[in-house]
Amino acid sequence: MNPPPEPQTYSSRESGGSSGDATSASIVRRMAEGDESALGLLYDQWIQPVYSLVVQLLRDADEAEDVVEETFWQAWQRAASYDVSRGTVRTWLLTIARSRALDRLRVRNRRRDETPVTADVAIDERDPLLDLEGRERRDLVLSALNELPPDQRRALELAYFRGLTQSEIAETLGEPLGTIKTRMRLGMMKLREKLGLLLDVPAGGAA
Amino acid sequence: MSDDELTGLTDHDTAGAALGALSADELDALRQAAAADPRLDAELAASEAAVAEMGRLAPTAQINRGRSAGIRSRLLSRAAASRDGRSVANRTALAGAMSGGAGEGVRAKSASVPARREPTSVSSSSPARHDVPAPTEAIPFRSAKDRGKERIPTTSGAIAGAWQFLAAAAVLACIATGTQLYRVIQQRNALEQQVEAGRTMSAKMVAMEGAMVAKDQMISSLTGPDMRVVNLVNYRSQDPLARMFWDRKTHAWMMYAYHLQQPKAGRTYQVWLIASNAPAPISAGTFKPEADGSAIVRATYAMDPGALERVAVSEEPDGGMPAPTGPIVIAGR
Repeated sequence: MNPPPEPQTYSSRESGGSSGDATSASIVRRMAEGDESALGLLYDQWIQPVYSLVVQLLRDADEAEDVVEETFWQAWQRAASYDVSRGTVRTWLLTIARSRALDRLRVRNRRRDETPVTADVAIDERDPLLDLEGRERRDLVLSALNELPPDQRRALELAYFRGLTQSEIAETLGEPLGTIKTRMRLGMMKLREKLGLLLDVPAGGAA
Repeated sequence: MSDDELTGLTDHDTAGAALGALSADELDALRQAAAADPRLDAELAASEAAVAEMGRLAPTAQINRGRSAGIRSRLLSRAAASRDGRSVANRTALAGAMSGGAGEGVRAKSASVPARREPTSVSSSSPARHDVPAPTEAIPFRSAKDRGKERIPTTSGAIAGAWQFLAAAAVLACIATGTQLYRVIQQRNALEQQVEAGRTMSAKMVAMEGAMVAKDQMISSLTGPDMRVVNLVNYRSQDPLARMFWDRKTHAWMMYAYHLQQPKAGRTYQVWLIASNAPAPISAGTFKPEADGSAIVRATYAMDPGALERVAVSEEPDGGMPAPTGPIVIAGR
């Protein structure tokens, strides 16, 4: 069992640091004012994490590119409704991206009548495209997940990486729906505790 | 599960919502509850943040640069078009408000147009608070002069005022249409440039592919068993200034030279093959190096594989000579 992660302060980086997100927040404000060049900046800043997440979920580069476009287009359309006090731009953007990817994943699963049963998350320790800060943050998340009881972790991963609903997870694992709901809620609560400062409200505060 | 473990959990399943794992009905109910309960909304936001952090476990993937540039370009074009559409919509709304006559002025003052960006349809997996519609945007500013015209209309005054506003609306509509047309033409021209750039790029790609095939053929021949390589040096340096490849199977000769000085004016370099079974050097062609001193010379000449003794390059008068007359610049065996 790994020790719980120590709270850490991160430098200002576009990849998730607080100042970086403050910059992103100002970019989103410009988008809300109709400045399309800001959309280009947002795209340049966040394309890699957005694409990485979407392609991991969909396992299809063509579909992932479609979802990337949908994600940033939706960000442009909804820039005015972005609430900086509620979460970082990274959270906002990845939430949109994941939602769009899940929509496709579920259509695909229904069409093929297939329900994946594993949540295989391959972590490349040497990921050459990840900077030091990105690696540290990834390791913290991985450590936090590893500390969860296996059944709780599995419930979270099946929902996150396979896009399964709670009912589908219950069916897949042969467990009652109530059990899955409880595992997921407990797992999420512990995950939030373990991630600690990573989940702080971004710089710029509740403006 | 102990009671302690359940401490801190609300009755609402924010984890399932943040993970997009609830049914549509459950999600709708939670959204409504969160909209009315800041504490619940904060919990949902925290769960969404934790879920976003899980995204860090996805291996870093690089999107194809060319296609990424295409996506970016399309997004900016769509954004510019939507912005222009909004501008026209605002102008049209202004013209519409004005065309209602002076008596409509007070109403127009407080009217509003639809949100600048309408929220798109929300899927069952969409986040809760981020789907709140954008605030509506007030009607564009009206000058004090315009506001001064707001009076209770008489019948004749209303008619005259209506005509004035209709005329103004028509002018504004023309301006709006003209401006929009101008922008569309600009966008069209920009697209044409992109298409043209794409064509040029495509032609370059075809040329590069051809060059690659040629290089592949060259590599294939250079590494074949029938290839003989001759390094040519000058008397001052033993570093090769040229390398000659002789494919004894096809009798094809290729010489690559580099760092050669330019020959004097009116003169050229000439390649000679000296063979034991030939009474005199055999000319293999003339050449002048590029500005950077490099040169490529190709020739085909059948020769007994064992007969080649030496390769030399001399400086000769333009057009070449039947036999070497000038100084030997480089040579090798």
